[in-house]
Amino acid sequence: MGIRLYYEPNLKQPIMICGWSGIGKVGLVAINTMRRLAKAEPFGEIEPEGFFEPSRALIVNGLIEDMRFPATRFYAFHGSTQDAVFLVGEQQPSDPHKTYEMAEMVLDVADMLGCRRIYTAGAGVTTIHHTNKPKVWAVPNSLDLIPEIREYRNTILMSETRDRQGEGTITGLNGLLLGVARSRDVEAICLMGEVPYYLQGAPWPYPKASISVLEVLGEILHVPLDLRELQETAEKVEENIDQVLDALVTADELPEQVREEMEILRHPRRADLGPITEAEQKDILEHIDELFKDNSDKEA
Amino acid sequence: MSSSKTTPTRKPEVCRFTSQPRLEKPSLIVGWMKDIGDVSRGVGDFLAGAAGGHSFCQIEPTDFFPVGGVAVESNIATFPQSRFFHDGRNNLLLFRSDEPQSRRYEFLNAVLDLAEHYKVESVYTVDGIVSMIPHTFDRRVFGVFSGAEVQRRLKWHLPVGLRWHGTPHMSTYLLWLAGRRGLRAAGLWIEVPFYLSDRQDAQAVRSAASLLGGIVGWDYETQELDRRAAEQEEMLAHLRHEDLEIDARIQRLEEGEPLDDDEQVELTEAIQGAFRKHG
Repeated sequence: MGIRLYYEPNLKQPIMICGWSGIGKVGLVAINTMRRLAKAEPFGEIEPEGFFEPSRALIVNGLIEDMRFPATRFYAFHGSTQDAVFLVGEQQPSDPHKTYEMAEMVLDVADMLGCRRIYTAGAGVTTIHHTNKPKVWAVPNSLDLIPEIREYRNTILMSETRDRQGEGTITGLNGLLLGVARSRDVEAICLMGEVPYYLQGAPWPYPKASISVLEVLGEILHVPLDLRELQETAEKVEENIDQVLDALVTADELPEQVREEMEILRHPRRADLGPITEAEQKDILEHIDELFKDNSDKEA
Repeated sequence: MSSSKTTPTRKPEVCRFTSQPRLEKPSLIVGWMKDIGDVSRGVGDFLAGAAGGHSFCQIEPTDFFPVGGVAVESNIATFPQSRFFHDGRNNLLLFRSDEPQSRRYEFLNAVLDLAEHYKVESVYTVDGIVSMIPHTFDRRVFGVFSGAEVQRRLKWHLPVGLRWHGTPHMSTYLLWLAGRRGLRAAGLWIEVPFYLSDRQDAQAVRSAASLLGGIVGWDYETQELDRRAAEQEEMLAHLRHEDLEIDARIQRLEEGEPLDDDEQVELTEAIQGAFRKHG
């Protein structure tokens, strides 16, 4: 377990932008799209052994040719007004100690390259409907950053969300990195694209939230991003969601109360989802998660 | 020359030693407690018995296994085991273990730390692999190697290499990690007829032990393994004689004709049921 640099990029006061796999793969899709569109160059990685289990082995005529692990890779971007380091993490460690260890390693790289600020990207689960444009929730690790965040487009603070009053938890590396950065006196902001609560267990990505995050990051970096391809994927995902809801609402065993909620979800014009009770959320989630599970079993 | 033997000076942290055997560039054989056809376990049982059962070290379970309670299997409370045995006479180290449930990287590295500590000459793993062969055919053995050099050295014993693309087995992960440290390591994958995969295939155990003995050069008596293999053959012959359906399906396998999924399940259930019935 260590940091492996292919070369040391020469960057001027860069910011670091990190995206890991998580709910709706919001952060991963956003940052991977960004580094691709910005043509950022890979310059290093965190060695995966010890953090992750190997996912695939390739044995050819008895020789172990390859052992594949989830990658955590750094990319360098030279911008016209702002340089950046992108970090794309295909997976997060499952062990909390290892998660902390990885956060420290990421910040070691940031420190070495003189990064002045860290951004993380992920998902904010809420009672939004999937036909609505997701907002971006922003959580800084310092009060001083709040005035700047207020200038970001389509972005709100946790205190401005419907039911959180400025409180909450950011699980995994998106949150932990903010905390560890704070202990090193490094500025950090987490940007979370809203994901409908009933899709948090879905096996597919939720690109609509990634797009919202990318729009904010594009402005921060002063980089125009052509997001048409991601838009098309988002539309396809939306069609899939509609199909799932259609399938659910016709299921015989659905309790009447859940069926009514599903009907609301199926008709966007009536889709003011809140406030709903926790019990209602739980009921809907259970039925939707069950359907996702059935579908993945069939695929398997 | 005892003076040239390696004396332990540093103990890996997760290992608890009860003694410090002196060995001269020993071979390390790794056997898991559960695998296809119980081949790994069978070879481990045989070696631990033949070596005189001298366990000298164990890996502490707390980091790698759930230790909040015990599992009960066949009415017996079980607990994860990860023990090293040694046989000075045959210059052999044996590691017998349940597969770790977490922190596999650290666990396997602890095994390799001990291997390096004793300056092992080579590391060997033994496992069963499901095959469509009938039990009356010789069990082929496929090799997996940590590098080309060890493959060349073992080409007479293991001429056929395995091909695989998918989730790595624990043994494969160990071999790969060994290769990264520059240790010579090889895995033996022994064919087990699919209908014997849920129980111990005594024939496969005998084949594995015999091949491994040829590679490592130990002097253990194998009559007990021969007896068990013969007993298994006798039992299966009796089942074929007793049940014509079983006989017909095995005969089709002998003629190279594949069985469909349902037929495979039926044959497996019939044979497992008959084994249970006959104790």
